[in-house]
Amino acid sequence: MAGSTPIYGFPYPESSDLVANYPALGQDLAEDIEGVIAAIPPGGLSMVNPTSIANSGGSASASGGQVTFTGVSSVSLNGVFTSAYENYRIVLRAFTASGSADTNMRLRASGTDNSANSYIRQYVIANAGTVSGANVTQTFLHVVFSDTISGFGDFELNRPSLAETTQYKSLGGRSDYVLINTGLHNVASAFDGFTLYPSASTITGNVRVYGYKNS
Amino acid sequence: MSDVIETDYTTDPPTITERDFTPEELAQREADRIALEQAQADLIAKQEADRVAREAAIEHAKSLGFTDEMIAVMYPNLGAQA
Repeated sequence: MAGSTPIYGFPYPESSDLVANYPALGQDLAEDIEGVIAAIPPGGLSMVNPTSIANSGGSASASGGQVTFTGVSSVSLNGVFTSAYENYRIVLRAFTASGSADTNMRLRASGTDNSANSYIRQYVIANAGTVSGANVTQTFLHVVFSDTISGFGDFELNRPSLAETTQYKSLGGRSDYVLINTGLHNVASAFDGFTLYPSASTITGNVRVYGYKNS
Repeated sequence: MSDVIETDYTTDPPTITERDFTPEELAQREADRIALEQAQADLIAKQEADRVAREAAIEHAKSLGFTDEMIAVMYPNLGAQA
C-alpha cells in the first residue's frame, strides 16, 4: 500500500505495492505537486476570495477570486479583509450604463457600510491639460471616474482589518480623467469588506482583491 | 424584485438570499442623493463664478493696455486668445 509524506501527503510506492500500480501512483504524485505549486502566490500577492457578496440591482457573482457585476447600483464584497494580510490591493474595472459617474467605495464590517464623514484624502485630477487638486473629507472614497467605455483603477489599503485607521492610496480614471488619491479613513475600526457604487447610473465590470504577503 | 441579493459562498452550492433595503440603507441612499445634488449645484455655481472672474480679469488687463497676446503669455489659465 502506497505511503504518503507527512506534510503534503504526496504518495510514494512501498515495497508491497504492485508494479502495475506505479502509473496511477505517479499520476497522483504529479497532480499533487502541480496543485501545491499552483497555490504558491506569485510576486507576493495572493488572491482573496470573498466569503459572500451582495448586490443591489442587476446581478453579481464570484468565481475564482473575481467578482463580476452587471448593471448594479452597488456591489459589496464581504470577508476579504482578515488578519492574514496587512496590505491589500484592489483592481477594479467599472463602466456605466449611461453617462459619466464617480465610482465610489465605502469600507464595510459585518455587512454594514461605514458612511462616517471620515474618508479624508488629498486628490489630484487631470483632465486634458487641466490639473487640479484639493483636500476633502467625505462619507466615501472616490476611486475611479467611469463612463460607458472606460473606468479602470486600483487602490491599496493598509490595515483595514485592524481596529486602526485605514490608510489608502489609489490611481484610477477613464480615457479623459485621471484621479490620484492618498489619505485615510479616520475611524479606528476593523473592516472585513467594502462596497462599490456609482454616483449615477449603474456599473458593469469586475473587481479582484489581492493580499500582499506579510513575510 | 428584492432590493438586495446576497450570495454566501461558504456553502456548497452558494446560498442566495433576497431582501429589501433596511431603513438605515434607505436613509443612506437618500442622504447620498441629496449630497450629490448639492455637490453638483456647488460645482455649477463655482464654474459660473470662475467664468465671470476670468472675463473680468481679461477686461481689466486690456484696460491697462495689455494685448490679447500679452495676456495669453502672462496668464495662460485665463484662456485669452493669443
